[in-house]
Amino acid sequence: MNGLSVSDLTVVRGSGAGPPAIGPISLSAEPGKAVGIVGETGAGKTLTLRALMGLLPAGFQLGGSVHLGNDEHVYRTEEELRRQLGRAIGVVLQNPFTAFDPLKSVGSQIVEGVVRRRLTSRSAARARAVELLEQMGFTHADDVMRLFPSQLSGGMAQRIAIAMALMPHPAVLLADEPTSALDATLRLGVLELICRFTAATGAVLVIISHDLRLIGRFCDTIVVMYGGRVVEAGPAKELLEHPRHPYTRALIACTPTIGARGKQPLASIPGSPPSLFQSEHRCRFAPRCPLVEDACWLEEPPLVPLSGVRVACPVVSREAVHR
Amino acid sequence: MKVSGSLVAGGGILVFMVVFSIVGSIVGGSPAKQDFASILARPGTAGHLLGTDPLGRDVLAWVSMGIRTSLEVALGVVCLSALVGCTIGVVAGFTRGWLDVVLMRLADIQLSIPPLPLFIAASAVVVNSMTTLIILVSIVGWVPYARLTRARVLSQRERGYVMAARLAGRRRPAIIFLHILPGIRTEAIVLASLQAGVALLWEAGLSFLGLGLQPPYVSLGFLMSEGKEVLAQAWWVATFPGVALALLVVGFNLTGDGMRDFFGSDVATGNG
Amino acid sequence: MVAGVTPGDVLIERASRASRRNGVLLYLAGRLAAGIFVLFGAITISFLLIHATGNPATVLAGGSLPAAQVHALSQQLGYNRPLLSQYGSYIVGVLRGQFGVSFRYGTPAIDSVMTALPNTLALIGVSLSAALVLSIAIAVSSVLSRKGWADRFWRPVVLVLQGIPDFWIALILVLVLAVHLHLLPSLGFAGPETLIMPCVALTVPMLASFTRLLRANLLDFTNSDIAFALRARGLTRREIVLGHSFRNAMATFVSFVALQAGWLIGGTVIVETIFAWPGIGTLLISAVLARDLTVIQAIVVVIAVAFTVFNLLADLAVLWLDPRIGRPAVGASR
Repeated sequence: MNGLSVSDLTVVRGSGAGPPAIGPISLSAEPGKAVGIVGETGAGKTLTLRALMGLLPAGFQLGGSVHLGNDEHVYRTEEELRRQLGRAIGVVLQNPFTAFDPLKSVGSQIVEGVVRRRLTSRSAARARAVELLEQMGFTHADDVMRLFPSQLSGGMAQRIAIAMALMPHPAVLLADEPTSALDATLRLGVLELICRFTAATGAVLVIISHDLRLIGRFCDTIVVMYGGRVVEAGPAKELLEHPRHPYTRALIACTPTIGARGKQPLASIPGSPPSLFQSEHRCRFAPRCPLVEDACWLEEPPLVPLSGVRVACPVVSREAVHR
Repeated sequence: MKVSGSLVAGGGILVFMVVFSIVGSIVGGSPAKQDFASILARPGTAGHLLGTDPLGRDVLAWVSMGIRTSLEVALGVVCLSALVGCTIGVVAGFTRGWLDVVLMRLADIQLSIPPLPLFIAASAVVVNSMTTLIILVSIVGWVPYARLTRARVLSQRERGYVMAARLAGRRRPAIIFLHILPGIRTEAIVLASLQAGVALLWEAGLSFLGLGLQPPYVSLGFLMSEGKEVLAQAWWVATFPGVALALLVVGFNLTGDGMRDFFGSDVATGNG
Repeated sequence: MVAGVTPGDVLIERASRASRRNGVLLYLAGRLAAGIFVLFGAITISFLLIHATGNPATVLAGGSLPAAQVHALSQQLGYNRPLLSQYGSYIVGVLRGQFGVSFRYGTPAIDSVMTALPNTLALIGVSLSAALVLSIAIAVSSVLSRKGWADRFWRPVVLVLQGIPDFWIALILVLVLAVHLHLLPSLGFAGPETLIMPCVALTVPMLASFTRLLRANLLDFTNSDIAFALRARGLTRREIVLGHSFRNAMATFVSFVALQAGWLIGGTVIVETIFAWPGIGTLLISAVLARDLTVIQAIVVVIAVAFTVFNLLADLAVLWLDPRIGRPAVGASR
């Protein structure tokens, strides 16, 4: 497998006049690695996910290209991407309870995708499903297959959903806030499961989250999004230890730590996130940025390399050069 | 809040019907007047734009007034159903306990009993009057309002502002009127529009059978029953009131749908 | 063993199967009890109905008999006994299937009803089936049609159809097909071709309301989060609509259909009148006009039994469709 490569992915609403709602986003990851996309609500994470799935809402256009796995094909349209769902692309969504049809047994749903696509026989699918469930920690996987979604707890449902997503040996596993709906005590365990799996099978894991700590702990690369743009991207360790972009810095400063000493007030970034749909070309963080200059309001800053990461802030890049 | 085609079409139809009924009455004269010289006249004969019935009554006059009768009945039924239904819903929602259970069981029973035979059987002991008819038809209509109001009460009673109001000394009726009822306003309007059409059909049906509004009341259903007898010779007697009725009902249905579009897709109809 | 997983996962299928059976039985018992309760209520109402304006003998007399004779009539028919005692004998009679004797014909009231019932059931059977089949076809094709052609065509048509009263359709049909074109006979129940017009009249409004409901339910599911998750697994929209939306929409749909069917039992009155159909509807009207009280009571009770049966059938259908009944959650919240 050759991993994942996304080039200049954009999402445009309507006719395309004005700056795109999302993008351009470029990222790449080798097989078995994990990419974390971080951003607050409104940063465009969901739309990005839907773009990668080829399931954009009506009225939105996809731009750019995606390359998955080890075939030569490059995907440029929503339809092409959509066809890879349940095949080369696996998805785990946020809400474990709406991941299943309430009227069918869990087992029949796990195998449904691959059987319908004729990727494998029903008996082979069942066997693999049982195997996956066991690896997810279920001791009586046969019995679990016969359960109905209404009988499951959140943690169980999400683990089954992960197993389901992994059934077709996907090249990429997209996870949208996979643990937000779970109890805090379960989160680490579930994420460990996901990471271990993708690393073992050589799939690329793309996690979307607002939880910087979780992303930092499990991902090899981090992509920080704001207002539909990538503001900073790079190896997790480097990015977290030496954040460059003012937004990244603020985000890290905002992240509360348990057991922090003293009664420090909880930091926050003044202002509120921008709409994704704007007509002007300017840096989207400008209204809230402590380093803002006049030039920031005139055009969108490009993402440029800077000591091992990529940053979209001319102010920061310039200062670094001077040093 | 978007004005959809349904709303425009439905509203347009209803407005047209009201105008038609006014103009028609002016042109057609009194529906009770029997012109013995022109019995069963064809549409277009002098003085009788839509023809006459077996007793020489002008069809246009009858239909025009019939439209108004229908609208009166619809209004009465909707108001009464809403009043009774909302009251029951509020009582059920606020008192919980056995009263709530009893009332809701009653609602379920009410809903599963076929209304028409009930009306008919009731007509055996009941008299020709608009009030009675309105009451009778409302017997079927109150349930959705009750369910709607009760659901609203249940969802709102634990809310902060209700508790705050009670702490501030507001009495329950004030809370109900100022806070709870306004919340169901939009859903109630949608419900009312849809119910109006249903009420019209019931009234016309009962009058058609000879059990609803008989002369001296002017009902579209009654004219249709006359028309049934002379169907072979005089098609117009049954057809025109039918068209008017259908237009009214379709108008209300479209308006109801349009209201639902107007207020947004999170409006439920309260139909269980 | 993965950290965070307890052996609690274990208690599953065997326990679940037993509980499913118990859950189902409990559900059925509950529905049966509710049905009997409603039936009892209807029977009571049928009793109270004829006493609503006082002594039924006065109603029978219609104001044309002298007081002494009314009194004698009342005694003869047992209407002068205390209400509760009359109620008691009534209930006993109903349980035995005895409703007294028809005032008009002198024969047992229940016989007239039983002769008329099959005719009405024929009407209902055909109309309901037609409405079901057609509405499912229209609703599903509306939802499936990619560019929305089918949907855009049917929506306004269905909306208009729902507003047209069934008796008007009946009249127009008679007018056009029987009177002017002489294609079909217009009266009575005399062979399958006489079924056509009354059934069309009954089917059209039902078809409209069924289609609207089913389409709305199908769309709700197809646009829901669950459907999105299904697409994320690689299912096509068509597969989702046919394999998932449909089943999920069925529960509400079936309940609604059963309700309509129950209403139809008494609701064929007008159409029957127009076509002089010898069914329950015409019988009820004639009984009311002639003040044949015992027949009226018998009809009301028979109708009540019929709709109770329909509702129970619907409950059975819902049970078959919904696997959640009787299956409780397993494991701790993990």
